[in-house]
Amino acid sequence: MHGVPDRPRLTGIVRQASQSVFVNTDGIDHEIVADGVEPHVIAEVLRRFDGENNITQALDGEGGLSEEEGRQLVESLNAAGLIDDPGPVECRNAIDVILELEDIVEDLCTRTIYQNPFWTTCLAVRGPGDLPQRLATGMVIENWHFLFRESYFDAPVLSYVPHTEVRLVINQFFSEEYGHDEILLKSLNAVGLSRDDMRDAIPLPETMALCNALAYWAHNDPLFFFTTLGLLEGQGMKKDSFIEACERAGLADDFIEPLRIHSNINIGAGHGNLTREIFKHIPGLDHATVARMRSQAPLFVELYDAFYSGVWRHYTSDAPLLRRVSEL
Amino acid sequence: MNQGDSEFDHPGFRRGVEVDLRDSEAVISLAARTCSFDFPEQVRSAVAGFLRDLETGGYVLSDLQGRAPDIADQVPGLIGEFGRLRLLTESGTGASAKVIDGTQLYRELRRVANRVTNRVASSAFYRALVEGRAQARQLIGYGLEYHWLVRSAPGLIAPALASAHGLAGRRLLEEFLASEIGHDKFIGAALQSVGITPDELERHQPLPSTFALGASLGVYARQHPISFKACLFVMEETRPEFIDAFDRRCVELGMPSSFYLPLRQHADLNSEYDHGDISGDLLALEGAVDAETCMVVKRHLALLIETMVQQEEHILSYYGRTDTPMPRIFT
Repeated sequence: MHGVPDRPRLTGIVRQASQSVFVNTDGIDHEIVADGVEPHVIAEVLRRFDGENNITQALDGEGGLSEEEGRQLVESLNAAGLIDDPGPVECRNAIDVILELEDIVEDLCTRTIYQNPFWTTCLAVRGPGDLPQRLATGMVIENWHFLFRESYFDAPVLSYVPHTEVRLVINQFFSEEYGHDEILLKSLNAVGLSRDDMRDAIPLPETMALCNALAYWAHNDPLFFFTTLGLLEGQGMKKDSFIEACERAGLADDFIEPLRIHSNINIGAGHGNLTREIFKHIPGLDHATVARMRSQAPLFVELYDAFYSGVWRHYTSDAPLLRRVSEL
Repeated sequence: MNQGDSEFDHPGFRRGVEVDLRDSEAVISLAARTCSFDFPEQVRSAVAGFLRDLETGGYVLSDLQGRAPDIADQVPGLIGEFGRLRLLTESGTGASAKVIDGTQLYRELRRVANRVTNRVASSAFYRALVEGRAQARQLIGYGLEYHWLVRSAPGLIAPALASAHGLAGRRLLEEFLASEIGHDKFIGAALQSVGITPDELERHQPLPSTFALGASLGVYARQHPISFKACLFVMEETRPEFIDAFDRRCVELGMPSSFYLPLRQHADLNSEYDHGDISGDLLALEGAVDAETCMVVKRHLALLIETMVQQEEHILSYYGRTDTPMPRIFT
């Protein structure tokens, strides 16, 4: 049995007999015998194990037991399952941890994603010609690959057991997300890419890396996976900078409209608030979990930044637009 | 999760937020982040009260509006904006339900295990052994079911490794996994001595309750690792009186020692590794366990014990019949 509590609480009722003391718990009498110590002394000390007194306080004024003997008594009681530890546990409020994590992620994004050539290009678009159609199409292709594989990383957490409310939230989210690849497919259709083309297509390695990293976390570290959803779903975002860039560049409306529909569904459903919504239902996080989340956050941002770098690299090059399995 | 909902039930300023209230402007800042808004001077006291309420925390949105009627219409928009800028947190007390550490959870689990065990029955198989009712077929059946669990054990344990994030937990699970590998050889040899071939052993389908034990542990290892850790101690508890009774009954029935001795050797091996407290060792690494998680773990533990009791009853009833396949091979 591990760790003796600082302020032990006896789980049973103390009864003093002529030669010994009994602790009755769940209908079973446990006899406590201490050589050379009067039963009434033991009984009094046991009664003071109420979860409020520490061992020294419980022994106070009872000369028959030394501090060391008192500690041994608690260890024996603990090993026999007669001791509880009602003391407070050190943990952090989960939503506070998430807000701190958002601070960290935003700081990281400022130095990485927001400096990424894909995004600086989008934000700098002033008029037609500033955003090549091929680059915009590429962004939608890779987004389609990501959404097409959303079940890879959402499915493992649909069965999230620890907190019922979280499971309900994530199931609702998935039901709202399901089929979004079909919306983006309409944009791709508008620029001449068919469903069969996309079934034949190979995502960029950075896109697949992001999908599989998320799937790995969803399987093995669901709490960390939940922290990524806010950023992925456009946390704090009132409008989509990519769509605005497409509009300013004067790209065709039948290409942009499905993107708008998709974005408005996410914004309207509050998907950007998903991480906070989830962690609102998680009462506390221990320090090891908090440290793990903080230490993994940069890796996630790097993967996400690499996704945009991949889009920029491939779709500004003269390589074929689609990487096809049939051409391998 | 609609956008109209306030994301916090009881919005309150995060620690460190500073409010600078001027005649017709409020400036709210946290570290380098600042936001400000203007207001007509005649609602200054309402704004002051509203910002004070956010500093105090604990109010729901409608309360915040009711307490500042002059700016009630603006309150939802301001709350939304403050939330977006990460100036707010959940300030209600509801979310901070009781949290305990893993060692205290283990104390409670041991008591739950005792209570459930006392309630559901003592070991039906053990009674059949000591009362001389268990027949050779049932003893072999016990071996077959035991073999299936032991041979499945590494595959059930391994998934828990991927979610063991700390060094101590990883080491414990690695050593536990390593100590479980290859044990099916002992029990397989025992079963071969009573005529079960290796091929039959491979094709044997466990009883539903045996499969339920394996599947439960395997699913918990992937899906709720703390339940997996919490359930191990009941699977690993050594029961010397059971092994003694098993041996005695085998001798009474004239069964070969090559059948019952390997089973004893395996039990001895388990006690050598001191598996009995693997749950305690693993749970001691859990710093904070919330009330719902405790409830889920206790439910899973109670179910596992009930299933173990069912399994003994199923072994007695299934292998107690002579018209059922043994080993259970279905083609």
